[in-house]
Amino acid sequence: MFLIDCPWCGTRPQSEFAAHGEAQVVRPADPAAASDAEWAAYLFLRDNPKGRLLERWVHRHGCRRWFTVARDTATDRIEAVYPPAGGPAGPPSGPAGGDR
Amino acid sequence: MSQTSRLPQGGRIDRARSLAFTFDGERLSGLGGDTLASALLANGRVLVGRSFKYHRPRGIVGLGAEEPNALVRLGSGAAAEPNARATCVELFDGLAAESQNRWPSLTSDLGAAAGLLAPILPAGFYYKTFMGPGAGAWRVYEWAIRRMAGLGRAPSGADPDRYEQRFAHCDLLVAGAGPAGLAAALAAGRSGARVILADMDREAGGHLLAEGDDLAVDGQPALGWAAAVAAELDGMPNVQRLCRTALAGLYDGNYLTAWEQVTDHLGPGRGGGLPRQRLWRIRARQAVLATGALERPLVFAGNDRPGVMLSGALRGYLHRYAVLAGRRVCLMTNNDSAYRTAIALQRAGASCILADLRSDGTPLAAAARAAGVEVLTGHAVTQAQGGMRVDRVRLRKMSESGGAMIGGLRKEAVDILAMSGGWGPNVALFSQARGRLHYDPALTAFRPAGGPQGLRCAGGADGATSLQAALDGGVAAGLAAAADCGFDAAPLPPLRAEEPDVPADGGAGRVRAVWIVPGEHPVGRGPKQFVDFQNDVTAGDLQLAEREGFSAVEHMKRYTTTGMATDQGKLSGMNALGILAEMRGTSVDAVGHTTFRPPYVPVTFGAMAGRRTGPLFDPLRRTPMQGWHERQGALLETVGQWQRPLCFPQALPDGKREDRAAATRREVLAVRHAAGLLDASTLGKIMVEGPDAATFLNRLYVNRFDSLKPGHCRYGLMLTENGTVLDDGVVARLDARRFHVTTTTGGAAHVLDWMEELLQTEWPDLQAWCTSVTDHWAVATLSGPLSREILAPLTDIDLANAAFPFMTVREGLVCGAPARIFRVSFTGELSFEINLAARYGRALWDCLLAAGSDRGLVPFGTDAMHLLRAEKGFIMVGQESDGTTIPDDLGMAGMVKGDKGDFIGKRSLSRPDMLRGDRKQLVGLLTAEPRTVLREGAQIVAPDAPDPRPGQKVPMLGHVTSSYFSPTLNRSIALALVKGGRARIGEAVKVPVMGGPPVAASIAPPIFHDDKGAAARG
Amino acid sequence: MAEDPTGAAPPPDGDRPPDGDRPAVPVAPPGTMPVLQAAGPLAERSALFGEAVALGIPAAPARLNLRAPAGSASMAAAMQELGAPGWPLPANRWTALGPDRQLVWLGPDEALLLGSDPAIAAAREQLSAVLGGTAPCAITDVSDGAATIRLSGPRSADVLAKGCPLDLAVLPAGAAVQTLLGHLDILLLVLEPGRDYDIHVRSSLAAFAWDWLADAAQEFL
Repeated sequence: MFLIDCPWCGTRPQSEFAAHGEAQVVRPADPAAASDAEWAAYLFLRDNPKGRLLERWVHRHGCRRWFTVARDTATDRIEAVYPPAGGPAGPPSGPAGGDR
Repeated sequence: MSQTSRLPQGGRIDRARSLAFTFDGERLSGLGGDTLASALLANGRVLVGRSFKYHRPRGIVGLGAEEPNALVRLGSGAAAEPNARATCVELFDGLAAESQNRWPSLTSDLGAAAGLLAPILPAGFYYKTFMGPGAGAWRVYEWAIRRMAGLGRAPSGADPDRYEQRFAHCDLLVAGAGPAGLAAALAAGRSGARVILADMDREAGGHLLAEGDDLAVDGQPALGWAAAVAAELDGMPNVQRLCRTALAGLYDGNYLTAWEQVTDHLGPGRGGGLPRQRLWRIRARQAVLATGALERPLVFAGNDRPGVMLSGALRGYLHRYAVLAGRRVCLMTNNDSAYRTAIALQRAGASCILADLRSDGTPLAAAARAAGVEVLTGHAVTQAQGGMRVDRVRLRKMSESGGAMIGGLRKEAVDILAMSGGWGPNVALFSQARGRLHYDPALTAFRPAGGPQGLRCAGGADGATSLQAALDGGVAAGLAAAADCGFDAAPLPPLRAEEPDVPADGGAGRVRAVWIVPGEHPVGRGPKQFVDFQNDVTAGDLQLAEREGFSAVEHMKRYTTTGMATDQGKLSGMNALGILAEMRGTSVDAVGHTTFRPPYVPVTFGAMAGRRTGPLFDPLRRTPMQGWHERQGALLETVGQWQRPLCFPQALPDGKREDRAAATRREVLAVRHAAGLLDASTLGKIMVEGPDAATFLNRLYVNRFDSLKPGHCRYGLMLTENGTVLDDGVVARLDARRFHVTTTTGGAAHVLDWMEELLQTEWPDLQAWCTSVTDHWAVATLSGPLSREILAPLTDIDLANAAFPFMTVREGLVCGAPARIFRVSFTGELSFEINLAARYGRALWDCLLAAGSDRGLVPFGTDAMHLLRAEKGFIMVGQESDGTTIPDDLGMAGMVKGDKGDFIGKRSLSRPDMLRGDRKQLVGLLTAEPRTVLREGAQIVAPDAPDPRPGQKVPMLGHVTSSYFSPTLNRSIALALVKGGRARIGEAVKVPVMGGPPVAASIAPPIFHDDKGAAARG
Repeated sequence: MAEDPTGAAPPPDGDRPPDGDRPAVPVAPPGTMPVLQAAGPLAERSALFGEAVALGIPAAPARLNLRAPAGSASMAAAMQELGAPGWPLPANRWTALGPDRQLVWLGPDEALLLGSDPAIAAAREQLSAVLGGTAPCAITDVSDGAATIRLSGPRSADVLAKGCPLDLAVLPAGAAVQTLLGHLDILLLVLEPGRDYDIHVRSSLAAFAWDWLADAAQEFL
């Protein structure tokens, strides 16, 4: 039960939030042009690093806004929270996922 | 005078208050301030229970939560509580306790025969039994083992007591109100920080409560100081002191659970309006763990005999409760603390022999000898003997190395044997929160070595071995925590402790690690040397586990069960690690330690459930018409958090009520031939609005919505990105930029979340917004050939087919209230889905039923709805689809508009697997015998397939998704997903039935009634 | 009022509840069709009074849900027209706009306007006058989508703390937080810290929320 800093509501308990996995999965701009392998990778392939991971979270029982959380999967320490202002990819200059 | 072991004076007890209680039916008495354990000891009772596995007689060992043996059953009936620790149960008048794990009685337990079977119940016996001999072995043994093993028995009735839960917040949580905890709370409290101080005991003081009156702080008796600090804290508005409250778990971010026994000490039914227990969920910015230290037992032959107790506990019973548990006491120790016990006992009238495992003595020996204690340095108790109580000890001198016994055997008659294997910081909570521990050879224990942010240990929990060190540590931790919360604390003047008989280097002095006291037999051969009393694990078991390769700590824990369950190794943990290190010939640090797990003390299920019982168990959503359904006696089904009517059984002339099938049949026929009324308020309803609303829906659904004209409706299908069906519903366009979207009842919340996720993360450029209006609208669906004439007099909307055709939406008034009516149909009949503000829902329902009563209008439930739509071959998401189903499987490929650009799931529909010819497709299924109704979920096989027999594989063609007896067609109908099904229409298939002959059926188009859809359009 | 065809159910308006007391919209010609009686989701619950805690049902407000991009100039202008500070509103706050309207922040692009039926009808006109038909925004009537329960008394925070994970002691007057109460999503408006709170909950869950609160208050009654 860690705490999460909602970019809008401030520090709230984890129970008010829901996690939706890796944040930096980019939907192909033109899915029709994507090869089957590329599309399958978009659908199914995810990082599962031990360490820093950028995740999409939603303040489900609060303001219902989505944002990006940088969480250490080994310690559950939340290193940063990014509002999706920079677009769906989250932090404007964040690393592309965790340790691979 | 029954309290034979009670001294005439002393103790923190109320001698004026005599409390009657029973133990195993025997009437006994104790005094105010007693625990059940101290009262039993006062009455000369040492034997309190039988052990978990071997049913060995066991006695009280400890003083508090560390007690492994004295687990008793309190009360009777549904309110009975098994496994209460007698050491933690405050005595009240009328308390009734019973021992556990024995039959017929504590002293003559037939289960003790298990002790004779010990050779076949070794470590890991569960695993070994699972493996053989032969597959049937476990089943043979299970009954007997399950019956014999275990701890207590849970009552079967509903718990009559009330339990509460609450959240709390503070700057600083202090765990433990001993000297360190009090000092920390005082320092932080004076700074203005919000402090919660929680302690299991009813009064403050911690281990001071178990000590004599020779301890002092700042010149006043230590307990007086503790009481004064507690009073000061109670007077601070920023401090909350929780008594009788055990901290059970410490989680990420200093989130703690605490278990408060609010009125347990008053006895059943005496709590007034207060709950029995309360579970606290505490969020603290900082935490100071002042949880003290725990004394370890020594591992030697017969160390589990009743009457073998911890030295510190014995001292505590003497000082706090004026109970002298034995008159002839032998003590065995590897450190100085037992000397204090021996001196106190000797002064109270006992005669003591003290066997010190250390050969080089201690300065305290002189004081002990002066008090009359016989001190034997370099000696060990090689065995404790006795049946229901220890009555003799065997003493021998040890070799200098400690590896062998030298010198002659001495036998001494005793009535109590006290042991002290050293004191270890109580780091359970610290370790739960992932605090790091390191082994301190001077303490012979693990101590904290750096915790997560905001977490500190103080006092005994931090390795302090003197009162002065505990006070200093507490003050420092309290000040630092307050400062970390931004409070400027005025430094507390140093607290000065006076503690006689304590060497300058701390209370325990030097400790000699003797993990297994050498006996007269090799380990595992002679009398049992217990490591874990509660789980009946011996040194021999550990040795066996190591020999069999389970030498990693976590493996050993699970294989032998040492340190498992409610005990979590409070007493056994360190000894097990020390023994393991010795066996592996390595250091304790190299062996490491197991993870402490919450809860620190067992928490009742009642407290965990709190008020979430009965009608408050789970949130229940009610439609505006719910009260009517309930008063009608409708049969209800749970759909998400809703309770929807399945059907409305009517009273029959003979006074009985229709059964479910009859009611459903009547309701279906009414809809087909007259009219029915359905409460569809549970449907998910979302307003999608904005300049880009149509674009958004185009990307979300397989259908086109930019081409939908205002005032029109379209059935929409929504896919996951994998191309599989996610949800369906009708979308109505109200004007250029507003859409009224409906979803399935169960899918409503998920669809709205999905829409928000897409708009906020994938397409933030789209100007469209989604707002749930599910609860705003009450929905009554009027369906059937007579529905138009029933509704017409109640509305100003022109219902004529030309003015209000099929698949359109109109806004107007119904009975004077603003309404939105959809002409859509899920039954196949002429239908009007009437949306009215929820406040009018109930009145609308009454009004429509009254208006239609002379035309045969009846309310219908979800059973009839499902049947009606199945007759029409309309799918239900989640019934005809299963997470692998794509639109083409359902015959809906034509709905998928490929020419409108991309939409969610589109790309996946052209993946190779989605284009396979043998995908399961939706078809109808007609049994050869029309009255036979197939089972939903039944498998479908080829007509010439062999009858399935064990071990034989039969190719499956598909499965039945929906199956009913259709009142309209007067025969059974079914929908099914069948491989390449559309090409098989007309073919025969077979549906195997477990325990009966297979059912012959034929594949048909998935529509059984009105295949032109004329009725709905009429 | 229509008669119950079965005679089993009592008429719903026997004792008109505080939140059900709304005028039905009259329709011409009168007398040709029945007029529907309004009933809120708490119609069958009665207020609970205690010195330490009281549970009440304030007059049911009409509700408008407002959505517009965080930087929307047109919405900012519309807000100023209503007397609100601008757009977006201050986060996690509610503001009184005169005696009978309240504006509640729900998100960086979302707000809730509460008020009496006529006050909201008037606000609606003001909003559409400023926003016109094409502004990038969504205005949705959600009046019957939620119900309000007023919790008051010196122990009201203790009742809330049984299910709300937030630190209520630090919520100032004017705070508006969306959070949990047990397993329910609620919108909590702080009227007077430690004393008076308005709890907004989905209509379909209002009766459950009421029962939960009444049960929680039991120890203080």
